[in-house]
Amino acid sequence: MGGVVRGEDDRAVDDLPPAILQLQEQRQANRIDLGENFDQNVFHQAGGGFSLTPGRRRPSPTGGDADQVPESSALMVARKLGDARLAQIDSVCDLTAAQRRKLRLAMESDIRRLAEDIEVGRRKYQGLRVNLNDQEGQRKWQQFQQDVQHYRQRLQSLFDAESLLTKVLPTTLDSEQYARLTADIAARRSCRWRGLVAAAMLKFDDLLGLDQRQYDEIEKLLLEREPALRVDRPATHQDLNAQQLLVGLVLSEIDAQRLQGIVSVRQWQPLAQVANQGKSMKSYIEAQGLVEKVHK
Amino acid sequence: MPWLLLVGALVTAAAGRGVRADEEAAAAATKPVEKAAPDETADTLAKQKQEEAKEQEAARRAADQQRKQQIAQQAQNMQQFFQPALQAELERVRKTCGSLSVDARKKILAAGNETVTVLARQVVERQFAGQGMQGFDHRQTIHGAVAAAVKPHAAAEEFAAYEREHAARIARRDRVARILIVNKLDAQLRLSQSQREKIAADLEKHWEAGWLRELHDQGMMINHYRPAPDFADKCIAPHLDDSQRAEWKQWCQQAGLSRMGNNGGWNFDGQSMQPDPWWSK
Repeated sequence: MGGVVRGEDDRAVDDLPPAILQLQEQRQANRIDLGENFDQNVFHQAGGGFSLTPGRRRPSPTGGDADQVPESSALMVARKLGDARLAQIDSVCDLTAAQRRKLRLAMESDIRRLAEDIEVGRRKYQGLRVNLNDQEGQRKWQQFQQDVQHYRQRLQSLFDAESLLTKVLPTTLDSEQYARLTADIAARRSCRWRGLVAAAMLKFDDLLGLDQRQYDEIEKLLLEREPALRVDRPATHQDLNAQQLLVGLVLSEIDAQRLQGIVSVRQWQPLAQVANQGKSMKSYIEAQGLVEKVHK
Repeated sequence: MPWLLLVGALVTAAAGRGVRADEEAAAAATKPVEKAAPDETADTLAKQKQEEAKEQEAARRAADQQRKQQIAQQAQNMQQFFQPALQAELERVRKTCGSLSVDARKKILAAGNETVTVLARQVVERQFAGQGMQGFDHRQTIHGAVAAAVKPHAAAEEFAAYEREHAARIARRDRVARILIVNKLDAQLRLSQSQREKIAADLEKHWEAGWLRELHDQGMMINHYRPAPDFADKCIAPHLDDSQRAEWKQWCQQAGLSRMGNNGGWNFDGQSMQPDPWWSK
């Protein structure tokens, strides 16, 4: 016997009917590598949405850690935020070299902790390919979105009240510096909130035909409820839609009867709609990182 | 042998016809060709041109008619976007001129609705003509028309109160624009509290009506920048330090609003108040 013996399962792929081949190609195209999309969605997706690009499985190296990750985006992005925060503190407080060193150490500690957390998330999805057309793939995709959202918020709140950087500030700065920094943050926050309220009042003025008294009273109620706005967001990250919704959310927290006492019945309807919309979008507003987490 | 004679006669006749045909052809070959008269050619061309012109005119009229229908249709749909402004204006009238008679209210409402119809049409015509919205101020137009309708019917002190509310509203819009300018500057240039206060004061002192264009910024980005309020440079630059001034200059070069033209218009955003039955009782 000189010929090659071939079993049924030895048929080459090329022997498959075209229809089957096409189906296989389609299934392959619908498979998304979530690991390949992780960094893009955590660090670079503006506006809070999600993007997916069909990823290719990276070839596993022959030795050492499979899919070794270069210096991660987490470190780069977080360090950039940290440098900006440090520069802001320096501009207000005129730090000494020793103060700068101490704050940087605290900052690096926060960044390392974040990078470690994000690495856990990244490894969870490394090499995970899902088919978005089936139920299991959809479930994994939803989980991916939740995880990405979680890490985005971690990044946004990197230097908030719970961070080491914020905790060491009172002991690193002298009392005068700390008072200056606190006052600067407070003033900037008030300025920002006044801007958000002004933009909202402009809309109310157009829609409701407010008179001066009504305008002043509603504006006063909103200004009194200033949230802990994040003031170090870059100008390019100003989400006007989220800002408008935030004002609506704050409006919803004002006693409705008090507002109804200011406006007419007809004026109340559109105003209530703005408040309800803000309230219903609370989790979205929080996810945008407009407001810092502060100690209560 | 009569059949021979018949054949012969036939042959002779055919030959004779042949001779005659040749003679006729020879005569025709030598006869000059008759040309069409010059007058007839010019007439034909002229008629052709007339026909073409008529067809072109008919096509132009048909296109014009279609355009008018489209404008009318879109203008009809556009009216809803001006109703919020009209309802808000009528609300201010009712608050200040509560003693208007039923007849007066109907006239004022009709004037307001007519203005909305005209405004809607103007917007659509501008869009069809590829014109921007420069100089288009629907709030002022609605107020002007409503005020003109109110004045003959309202008591003097009531009308004065209405006009005061209108002036206060203009002042509020100016104030909001200044606040938004300072906010935008702060986000980009990181101003100190002192700088924010000085720039705000300078803006108020030298305020120009055209600077309300700041209100048209609905969050757009130009070259990765928010639009820079460079129209107010004289109130901003003097209060910046050197590094801020360099950044301000760069920002203006990349995204200065004064370079963009003033094509901002208006945005419909939010639910309108329901029409007030008081106006049509």
